[in-house]
Amino acid sequence: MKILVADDSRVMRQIVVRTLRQAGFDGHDIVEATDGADGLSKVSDESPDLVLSDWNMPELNGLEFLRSLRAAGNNVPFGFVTSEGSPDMREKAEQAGALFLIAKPFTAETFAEALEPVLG
Amino acid sequence: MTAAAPDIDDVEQIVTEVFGSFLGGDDESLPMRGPDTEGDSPVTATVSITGGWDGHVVFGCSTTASRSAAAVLLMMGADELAEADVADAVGELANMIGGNIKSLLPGPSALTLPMVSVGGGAMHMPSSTEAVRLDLLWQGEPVRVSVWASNSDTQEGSTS
Repeated sequence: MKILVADDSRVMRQIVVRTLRQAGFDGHDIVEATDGADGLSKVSDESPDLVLSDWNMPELNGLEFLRSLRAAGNNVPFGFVTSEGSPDMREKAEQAGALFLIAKPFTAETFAEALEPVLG
Repeated sequence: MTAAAPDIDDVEQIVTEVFGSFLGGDDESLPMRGPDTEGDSPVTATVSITGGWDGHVVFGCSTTASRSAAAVLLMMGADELAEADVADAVGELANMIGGNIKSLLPGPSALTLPMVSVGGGAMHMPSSTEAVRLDLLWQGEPVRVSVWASNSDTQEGSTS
């Protein structure tokens, strides 16, 4: 499967990719995007099976990225990996169509629990 | 509306969780309370919170600590790091700590992208008051997390 990781921090993209491996999700193709606008373009070009996106990004934030996808009729499974896990943001994420919101800092166990239903 | 500020113990717990998750999980690698230090940190990253609570969260540390943290996060040697790597790492630490502090405060509110300063200089937070200052030692190096409440919030809190 192909996983798109969108985060404006290279450090965090590396941590997310590393944590995917630690959670047992080896062998998937990883595509990286540097913000929501880049993510939108790469979803179109790469057709990933799952998007893992930061929320707070320049150009197009994670929520705008998700809403743009859904407005275009793209229903790719989408989850947030963000430092902000307030009830308000979880509600916004769910209403926009996100499958889950993983709050930073996270563990491999958190990733396994959230991603197992999608990646199997 | 009372202008809430996070408790210093809550801030310390958040910092410990972030460091424990991403900068080495054993007890010896966790930051410990350090002596109160004077002066500004040479490396700082600031995120601002606006909305239900207005203010700033500042992560500051020594140059050595910033490079050590970046090396661990990127799994690179400290001598291989570019300045942008260090700024990215310190900014992400501020983002995680600030985002978790934001979750403790009245909302809804928004968090800005981090602003990173490498190289020092006095730090000024106009129209803000330092509500929490947490001085820590990580790998023997000074680390400081401070929370600044905007004065408009403080004034509202003191009169209601």
